[in-house]
Amino acid sequence: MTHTLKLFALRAWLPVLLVAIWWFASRGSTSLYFPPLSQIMSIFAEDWLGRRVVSDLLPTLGKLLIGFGLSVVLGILLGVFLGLNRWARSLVEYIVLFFRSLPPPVLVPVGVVIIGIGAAMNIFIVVLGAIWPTLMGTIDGVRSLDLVQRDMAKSYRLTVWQRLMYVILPNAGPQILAGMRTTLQLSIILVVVAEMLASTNGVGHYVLASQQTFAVTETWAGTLLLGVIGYLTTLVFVSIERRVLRWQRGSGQE
Amino acid sequence: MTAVQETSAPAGQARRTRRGAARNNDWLLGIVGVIAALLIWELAGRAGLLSQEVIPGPLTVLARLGELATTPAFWLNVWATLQSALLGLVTVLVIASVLALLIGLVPAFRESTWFLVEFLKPIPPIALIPLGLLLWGPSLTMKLTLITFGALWPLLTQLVYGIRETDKTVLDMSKSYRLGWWLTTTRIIVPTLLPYALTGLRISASIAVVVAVVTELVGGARGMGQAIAVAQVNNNLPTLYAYVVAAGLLGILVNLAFMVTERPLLFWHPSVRERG
Repeated sequence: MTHTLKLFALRAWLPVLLVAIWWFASRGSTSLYFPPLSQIMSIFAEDWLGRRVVSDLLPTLGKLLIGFGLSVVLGILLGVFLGLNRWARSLVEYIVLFFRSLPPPVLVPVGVVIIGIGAAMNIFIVVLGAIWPTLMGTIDGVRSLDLVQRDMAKSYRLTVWQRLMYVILPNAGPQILAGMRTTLQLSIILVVVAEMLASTNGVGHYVLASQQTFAVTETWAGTLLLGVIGYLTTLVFVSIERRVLRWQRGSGQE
Repeated sequence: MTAVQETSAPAGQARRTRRGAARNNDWLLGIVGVIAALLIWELAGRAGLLSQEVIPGPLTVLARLGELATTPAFWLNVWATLQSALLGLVTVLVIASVLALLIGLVPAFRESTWFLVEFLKPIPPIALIPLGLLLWGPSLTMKLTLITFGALWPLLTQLVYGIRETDKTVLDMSKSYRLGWWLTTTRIIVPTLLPYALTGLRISASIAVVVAVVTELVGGARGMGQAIAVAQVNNNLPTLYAYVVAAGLLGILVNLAFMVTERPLLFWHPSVRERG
């Protein structure tokens, strides 16, 4: 117990100190660019714990969830297909290489041209840009199946469905999840960029609009919110990942 | 050692040639795939399935890319993007090396910065664009700050792993063999760290390009992203798509550059040896 407390103190002193310095150094600030932290926090509370939750925060989170979910489902389905089918995999190899090498945000202007502005387009951009890490992780994971396991599954005459659920997917699990993690990070980036360039609401739209109108305190508050969203979604993902892969870590340690 | 290699050589060779032949076919199939996709795209446009107003055919786009490639403005844009990504990467390399050494070797530093690093790592770098624009405008400073912030973490994480993975037994042995500082560094520490460093650097490099493009796209800093934004606003679709294709090719080149450097540097590493 004392050990945990000590560790906590050791880890907490620097962040606490930095926030304290920021708080007191900016207290009487009249600088246009560095408003007092207290002011930023009160705007944050007013906007993001109050009036903008329904109009901006929820749409952003909704688009993020739908876009991420679609990317993952499509990425795993396509990845399993391509992982098992060598012919198809070779056929699309360079096309996939192009799309996953493309810096995904350049797709936003393309999305504006093809679909226009709005939620559907933002989700489309997320899927088109963020699907690749999950797809690649799934392909690699499916291909990494031990030959002995594959033959065993065949000689036990497991059905295709059984092979998929009990042999192929569990084996590919860690790599799929590693891909999903990158997909999640890309999804956040793409939702925000898409909202900045092509949306009339959402956190991304809010932050860029406040920057363009020199609403400095709002810009800071929005930036903090984006940081919090990035941090919390990763936290949730990591805890889910741990739970899903618990069997694997346990067997790995023994 | 040599005996084992000799006896297993023929089998290994046979396998390698068989795999080699298969790989040649895969390569051809990939090219066929690309040509087929371009053909479908072109034919769909001609048949009126894809509106030329929205997606011009591949011939139009590639012709525009060819035209652009003869103009200095195009290469200046490519260079602006590449230059900021490279400068950012160098900054990242310096900062990450210093931090990784401190985090890896000084326990007090590691614990004190743990929460800070874990908190900053998942923050999407684009969150800082509006703030960066506010403070520095669409300048190189703004680009570099954001690129450095976004691309720092993968390299830092990998370097810290590498430092902590360095085998204590091997280090002790080098001490009792009195290898000395130079031999210990070049024969033990660098070979252990190099695979981690290159993996981290590759991820950091692709993030650097992404952040560079976003700052141009959103912030109007000069480069390919800005060219794409301008083409979209002017509804100049062939130019828009030509730049998108160019951005993809740039991404492929960055990956290729890493593959080409990895091979001679890591020729002894299992992952490279397997690729043959």
